[in-house]
Amino acid sequence: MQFDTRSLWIYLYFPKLHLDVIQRQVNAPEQLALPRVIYDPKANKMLQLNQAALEVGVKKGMGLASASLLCDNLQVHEYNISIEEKALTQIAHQLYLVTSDIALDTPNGLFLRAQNMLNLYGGLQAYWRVLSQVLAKSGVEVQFASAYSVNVAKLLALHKLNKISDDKAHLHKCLLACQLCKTDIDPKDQEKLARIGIKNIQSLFEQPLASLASRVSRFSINVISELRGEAPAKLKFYYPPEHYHDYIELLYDIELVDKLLPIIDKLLLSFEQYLLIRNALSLTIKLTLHQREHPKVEQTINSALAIYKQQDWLSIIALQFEQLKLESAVYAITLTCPKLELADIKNADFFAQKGTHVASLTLLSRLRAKLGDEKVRLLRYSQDFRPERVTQFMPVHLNDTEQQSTQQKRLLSASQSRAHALAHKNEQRVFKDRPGFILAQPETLSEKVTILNGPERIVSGWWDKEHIQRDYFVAQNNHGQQIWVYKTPEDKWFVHGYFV
Amino acid sequence: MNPLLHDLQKKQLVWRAASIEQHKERVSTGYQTLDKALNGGFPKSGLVHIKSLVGLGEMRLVLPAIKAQAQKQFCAFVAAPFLLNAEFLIGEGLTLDKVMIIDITHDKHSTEQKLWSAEQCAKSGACAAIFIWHEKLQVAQAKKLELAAIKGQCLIFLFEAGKHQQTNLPVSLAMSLSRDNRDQQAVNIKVDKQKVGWPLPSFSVKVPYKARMGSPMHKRRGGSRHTLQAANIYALHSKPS
Repeated sequence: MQFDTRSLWIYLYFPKLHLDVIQRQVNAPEQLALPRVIYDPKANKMLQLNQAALEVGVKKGMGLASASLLCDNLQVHEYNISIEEKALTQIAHQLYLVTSDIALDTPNGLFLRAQNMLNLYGGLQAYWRVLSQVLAKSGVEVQFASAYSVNVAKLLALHKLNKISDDKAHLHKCLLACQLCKTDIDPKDQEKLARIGIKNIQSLFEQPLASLASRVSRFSINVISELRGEAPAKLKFYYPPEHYHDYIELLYDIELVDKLLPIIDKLLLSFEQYLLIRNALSLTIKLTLHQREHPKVEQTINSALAIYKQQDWLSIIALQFEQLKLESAVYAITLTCPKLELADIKNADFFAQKGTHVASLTLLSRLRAKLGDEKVRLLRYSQDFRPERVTQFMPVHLNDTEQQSTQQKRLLSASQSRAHALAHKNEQRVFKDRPGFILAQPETLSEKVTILNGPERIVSGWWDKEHIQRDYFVAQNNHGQQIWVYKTPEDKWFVHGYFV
Repeated sequence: MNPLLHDLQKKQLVWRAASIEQHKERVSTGYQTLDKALNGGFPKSGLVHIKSLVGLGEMRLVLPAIKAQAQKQFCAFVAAPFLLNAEFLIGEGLTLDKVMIIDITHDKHSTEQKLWSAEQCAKSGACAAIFIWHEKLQVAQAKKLELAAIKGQCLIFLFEAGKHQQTNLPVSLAMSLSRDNRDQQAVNIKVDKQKVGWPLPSFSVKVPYKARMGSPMHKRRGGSRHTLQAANIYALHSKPS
């Protein structure tokens, strides 16, 4: 997208993004006080240092050997650009709640288009106050500047201007004092310009653009003309992802499932805030545990009731993870939510059975989490003369069943609902003399019984090859147990149920 | 007060008849003889321990008492030895969408899972009654279930078929069922323990198996045609014997 050269831009620069991400995960205060550095192994340079490391004497760009000589308890972390990118996306995500036009400048910068927001917030200072609050909450160190052009803002921020103003003259003055080395101009071109004595912006602007055109690359010409305010910049804006996706890398590998729960707790907390802002609930989430030497473990966590609170999810996850066995240590966890449900207003009567309904769904979630989905079932009655076919199992409904039934009632017209009720009543005409327990596999009768009642012949199932012809009797054995036995045409006796 | 008594009471090892109030509310069982013996019926909430072989009519004995409550809340069946018959449950007046069947895998965790499920169902307050089949329940486990049932205001019926002699479990009601071989309709009930009364010797309650009209053996036993037509074969209430 191209923009004119008259809108106000803010650039945010995060000099120590990787370090801040790591320091956020550290909880103990004595751990925080240790000197910590981010190290680039390929160039053998220290990239980011914290305050404690600076005090010890480690400098930016120092090699590993000299740094370790200066300090023996230095915590060294290898530079990983993907962590910075992820953290940048997260900050952009948080800023998206307060400002609309954000462009990512990976790995550690953000462009904000302030011009649109000025009317909304009623002034630059008010807008900046809101922004700084969000940035303070994210806990990263930031250098900032504002300008009427994209690259100028970036340059000023890199020079630690740390001032937000819309005074054109003042900004121009600051710009002229900036050094060329911090711009985006190609380093080879910077060398060329340095050789002819152009080291800062002031001397650069004194030369007409045409004279430089033949000597420096096209890209640098674009940057310079943008700096001069003569050409607009082209940026691609950030849009938040459609599905919730969160990834956290652990400071150290964890093998015990119990120790994972506090970290999952943190993930669930940010998920709860995400849901709260969108007025949404969710029924399923997926947790992926990345193992170091084995493929990753994916766990889908279902809840019978749509929930958003962190404690509710954590109790279900704790139950489900009791059976989980890890083959190797976990170094990262991902939390995704494929689908969000809208939280709707419950219009039902305050004194209706809503209380137990929520309680029953919570109970179902807990039972299914601990025992597994197949172990908790509902029954269904099917009209079949064959006794073994009468009872069928149904998995438990995942949705809010009561809500469904009230919706159904609303949709049916009067006559339709009358027919529906009549059909339901007919369905309930059952044989009332059936036993309470039915054996899944009928056992042969092995003891002496007295016949109390019978016979009742059931011939059925000739249409689907499970043909039965049985004479059922109610019998009682020596212990007083009342059994449902049957006799096949071959005169074999079987036990099929108990009259409980 | 006697320091020994005081000590025992603090540890909740003695129960005084003066603390009868919380157990006074009873639920009618639907059988008049049983109601009379149990001072009104089953307790409103708590653990009921029933020792009986499978098939003596034990569920037909307890289901009428909870029928009313089961329309609004769930009934959970934990670790039943055989499959439950949906037809039977509908015949007894339960609605199938309020019936939950919980199976347990038979491994070393089965006891723990069984008791945990029963406790969760009881504590949630979403269940009217829980039926659990378990042998050799221990005192501590029984206490936990009893407390969970009282907290969730529901009844837990524990069915045990084993014959071994039990130490006294801290339950609200303990009964043993048996049936005389010659008797087809009546079940002998012996109240081993109840919190609001004394244990009682066995008395018999008619829990008939249900039979439909027109079956040949029934016709043989029945009286005149008038009686057959008028008799409600599905009647459950037994007259005082």
